Amino acid sequence: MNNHFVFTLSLLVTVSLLAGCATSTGNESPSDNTSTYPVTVESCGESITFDSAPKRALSFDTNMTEIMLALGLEDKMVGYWISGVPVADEYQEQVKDIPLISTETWPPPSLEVILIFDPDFVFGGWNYNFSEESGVTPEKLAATGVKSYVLTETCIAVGMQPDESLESTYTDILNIGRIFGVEARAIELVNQMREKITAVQSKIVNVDTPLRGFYYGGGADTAFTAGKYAMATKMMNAVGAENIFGDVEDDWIPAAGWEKVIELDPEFIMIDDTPWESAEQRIKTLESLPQLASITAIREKRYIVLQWTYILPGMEMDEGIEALAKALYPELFP
Amino acid sequence: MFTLGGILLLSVILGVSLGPVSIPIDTVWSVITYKLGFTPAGNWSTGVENIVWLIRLPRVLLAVVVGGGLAIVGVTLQALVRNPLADPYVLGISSGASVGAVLAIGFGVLASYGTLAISFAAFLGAVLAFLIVYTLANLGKRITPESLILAGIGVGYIFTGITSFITLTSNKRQLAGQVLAWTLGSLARASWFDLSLPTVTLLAITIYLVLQARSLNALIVGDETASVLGVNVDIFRRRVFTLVALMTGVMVAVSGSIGFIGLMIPHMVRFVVGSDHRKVIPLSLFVGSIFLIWADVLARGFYSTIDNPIELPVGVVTSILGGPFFIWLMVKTRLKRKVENL
Repeated sequence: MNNHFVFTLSLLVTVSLLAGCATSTGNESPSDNTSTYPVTVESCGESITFDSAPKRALSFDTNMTEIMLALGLEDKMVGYWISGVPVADEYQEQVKDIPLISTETWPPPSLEVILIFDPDFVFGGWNYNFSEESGVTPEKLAATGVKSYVLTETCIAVGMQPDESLESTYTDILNIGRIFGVEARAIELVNQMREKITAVQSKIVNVDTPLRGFYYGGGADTAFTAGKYAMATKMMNAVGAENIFGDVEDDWIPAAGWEKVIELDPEFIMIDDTPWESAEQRIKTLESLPQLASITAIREKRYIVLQWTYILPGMEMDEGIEALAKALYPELFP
Repeated sequence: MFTLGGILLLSVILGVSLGPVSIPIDTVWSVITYKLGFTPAGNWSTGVENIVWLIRLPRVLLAVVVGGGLAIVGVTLQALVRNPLADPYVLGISSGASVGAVLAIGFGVLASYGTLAISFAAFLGAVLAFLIVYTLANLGKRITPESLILAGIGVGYIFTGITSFITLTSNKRQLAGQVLAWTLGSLARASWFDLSLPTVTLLAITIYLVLQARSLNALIVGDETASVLGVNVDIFRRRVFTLVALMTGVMVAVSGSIGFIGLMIPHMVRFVVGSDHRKVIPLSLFVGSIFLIWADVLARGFYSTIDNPIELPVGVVTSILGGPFFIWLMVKTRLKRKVENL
């Protein structure tokens, strides 16, 4: 416990020191409009330096693509890839002239397919498009002269200490803004998201006992669920609820046994509607397992279905938090 | 054998009492006696009742059946093909089952069977693999140990390749993890319904094999010796092969391919009691059951001490635990023989 505290403390000090010389956290003021190159950002602990803004960028999967589009970078993009969920309606106009890297929704495009686009920058994430098995990694791309920025939440896949707050997503938006010289826009977007989330949180201050939640991402023998560092947990925490597995030092838990779930008896179950398995199918599976019948959330059918992009780090995070709050406290959001 | 029977009973009792959620042992047994209709209901929660009656008890009983079944398949196959390295998977049957399971997990094949779809599809895959292996092995009109092993390995490679191909090219994001967990073997699927077929299969085939133990003993020595002793080698081998293939299919369908037990338990038993199948078959049944119960206790609760609900595929535990134990037994037996020879 003590060690953990000291570590957290030193981490905080380090972060604030770093913040002093790089971007500041908290409410950023849009003072400097353009980045001055060279710009250096951290991607999974590695410093990446840009001498100028990339001109031929690729983005992988819906949430990264939306960050690019929200920053108005469609002119700098030569391709994008989604694993099944199209970008939100508000970005459709921007995305319509950008070619899809591959219409195949899974597995992600191979290295060759990526290189055909002659990119100078790739924005992706581990276990989205990057994986050691497929051979598509930031190192492999760097060897061909392509720079990468990796979604911070996914850096846990390469052993980085993750964060328990929503800050890493803001950091990603700000870093992409700096890389492309549109930092002012990035700061504006981050501030808007912060405000929206704060507005939601201000309505739920009077919740006494946090509701116990369980994130269910499929599985019948065991459950795919979320630990401390997963977005699903961060979202529950943000709206004053708690994940029954919120203390487990992990991001995603691929095979949780049912015994603990039954014992901890969640009051609601958060389910995402994914391209590869619908929420409807997931609820059907839950209700077909007789051993789960005693669970409060299942008896009361308190399933909170969120669209997949809502539980990903990205531009829809604030909408996800709002949707979760509305579903949990309908009386507070008339 | 009575000692082993006692240990098995004790293992079942402890296996049901131990788990990631700590439930007092008297509550566990009150729930069971209540469910069996012997005692009135107590003041436990429905959750506790479900954990004991719908998760732990069927799971421990499935461990008994699958552990015993795989051990017996191993014993029989090693005699049948006269190869000490034969195990339930050498004949390609589990690879066929994997293809069925992957099709069910990945593409919702047989989805109308709900959570039984995986088991059912796996069984169909096992039967298909068996038919192909049987046909190939039978091409020379006589099924020999060599023809069985070679056909099994060949068919196994093809089906393993198909499984990998489906997994890697599938558009299902979580498929690879699910398939890995399935192929490593797990008893988490256990339900009362799932128990019935494996139990009946195990009992019927074990009784038959015990009755045929002398023929298996003769077969180990050689086909000619067996013929001299009055065994119709060809018919006997076909029949026994069909039976063990059926049993493998049934076991793999409910538990995935749990490694180690089929290969190693027979050797462990032979180290201790020699190679007479009248002893080896029933003892392997007990030892396999006991071993799998404890492996599954660890698989269920391994991480619960550090407050992580994660479950390990039981095949991981059987290998990590069984390997060193097997080596220890082997070294001990070798040293003992050396001393005796001096």
